[in-house]
Amino acid sequence: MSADLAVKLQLYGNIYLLLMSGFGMFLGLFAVFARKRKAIYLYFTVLALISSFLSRLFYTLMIAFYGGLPDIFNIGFLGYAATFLFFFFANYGQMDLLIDDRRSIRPIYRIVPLVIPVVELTAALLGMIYGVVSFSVRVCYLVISLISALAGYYHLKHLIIPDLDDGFAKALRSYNAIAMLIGFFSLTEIGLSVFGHNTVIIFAQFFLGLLYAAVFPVLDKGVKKWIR
Amino acid sequence: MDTMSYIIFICTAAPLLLMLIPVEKHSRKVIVFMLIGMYCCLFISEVNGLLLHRSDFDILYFTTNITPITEEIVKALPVLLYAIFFSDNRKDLLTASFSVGVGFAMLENLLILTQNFKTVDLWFAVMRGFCSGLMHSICTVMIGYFIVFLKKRRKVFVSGTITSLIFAIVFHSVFNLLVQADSVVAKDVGLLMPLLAYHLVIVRVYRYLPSLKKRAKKKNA
Repeated sequence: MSADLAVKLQLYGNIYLLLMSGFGMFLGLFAVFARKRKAIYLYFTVLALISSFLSRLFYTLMIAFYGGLPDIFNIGFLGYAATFLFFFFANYGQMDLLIDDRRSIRPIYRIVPLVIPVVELTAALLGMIYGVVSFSVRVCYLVISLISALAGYYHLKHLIIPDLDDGFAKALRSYNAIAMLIGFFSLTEIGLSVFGHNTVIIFAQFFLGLLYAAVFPVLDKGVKKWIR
Repeated sequence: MDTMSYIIFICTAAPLLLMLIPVEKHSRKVIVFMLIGMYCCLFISEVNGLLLHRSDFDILYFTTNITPITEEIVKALPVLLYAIFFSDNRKDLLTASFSVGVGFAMLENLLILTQNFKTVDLWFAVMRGFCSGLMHSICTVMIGYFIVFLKKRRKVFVSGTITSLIFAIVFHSVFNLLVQADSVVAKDVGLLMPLLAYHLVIVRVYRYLPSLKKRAKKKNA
C-alpha cells in the first residue's frame, strides 16, 4: 500500500472519529445545558468526550497540514490522556464506594479486574521494546496505557461486581462495558501505529467511532434508572 | 526586540503597580493577578524563545505542540498556588484565574503588536482582542473552574488539576492550529472557538455563583 493511501486512510479515519466523538459530545452538552442534568458522573463523561473531540480535531488538522502525523510527541496524546483521566475520575472515589462498600463484596471482585492493567501494560512494554516509532511516541504510548489501565480497572470492576441494594452497579453496567472498550480500542489504535501497522488501524477506528457515539446515550439511560 | 518586551512590561506594569496602594482590597487582588499574568507572559516569552532557539522544531510544530504546554503551565501555577495556600473562596479563585489570563493576554497582544506594527490593522486588533486574548483568559478560567470544583475533593485534587491542565493545553493547541490554517473557514472556526467557550463558561459560572451566594446566606442564617 502506498504512503499516500495510508495518509488518506489516516485522515478519513480521524474525520470519522471527529464526527462520531462530536456527535457524542453534542449529546452530552445538550443533556448538561438544555436538559439541565446535574449528575457529576455525566459531567466527567462529557468532558472525556470533549477531550476526545479536541484530540481528533487536532489529529485531523495535523494530517491536513503536515500530510501525516509527526513521529514525535504531539498534543493529540494529551487528549487521549485527558479522556482516560476523566473516565477514571467518574468511577474513582465516591462512586466506587457506592458500588463497593468494602464489606459485603468479596475480594475476588477487586482482584479479577487487575487483568486489564496487566494486559494493557504488557502490550505497552512490548511496544516500548519492539516499537518502530520514535522513543517519545513509545513513551507516550506507555503513559497513556498506564492511565487507561487505571480507568479500565474500575470499568471492569464495576462491570462484574454484584449489585448492592441500591442498583448503581446494575444501572451503569452497559456504560462501563462501552467505556472499557473505548480504552481497549484506543490503545489498539495507538499500539498498531507503534508497531507500524498503520493500515489496520482503520478497523479499530471504526469500532471506536461507534463506541464514542454510543457511550453518552447509554450512560444517560443508566443514570435515569439510578435516579428513579 | 528582547529589550523591547521588558520596556513594554515596565511601561504597562508600573502604573498598575502604583495603583495598588490607593485602591480597595478586592480591586487590588484583581490588579495583582493581572500583574502576575503579565509577568508570566514576559517570563514564558523568554523561555519559548530559548526553547525555539535550542531545538530544531519548525514554527508550526512549536506553536501547536510546545507553546500551549509551557504557557498553560505557567498561567495555571499562580492560580494553583493561590488555591493551595491563600484562598478557599470559589469566587476569588475564578476572579484570580480570569485576571491572570487577561494580564497574560494584554502583554502578549502588546508584544505581538510591536513585533508587527507595520502590518497590523483594525481586523488584527479585533481578532487579537476578542479571540486570541480571550482564549488565554478562557484557558486559565477553565483550570480555575476545575480547581474550584476539586478543592473540596482532596482525593482527586492533584490528578484532577493535571487533567484540567491537559484539557486547557489541548484546547489552546487546537486554537493555534486552526488560526494558522490556510483555509478561511478553519481560521474563522478557530477564532469563534474562544467566544463559544466564553459563552459556555460564563453561563456555567454565572449560574453557579448565585447558588453559592444562596448557600452562604443559608449557612449564616
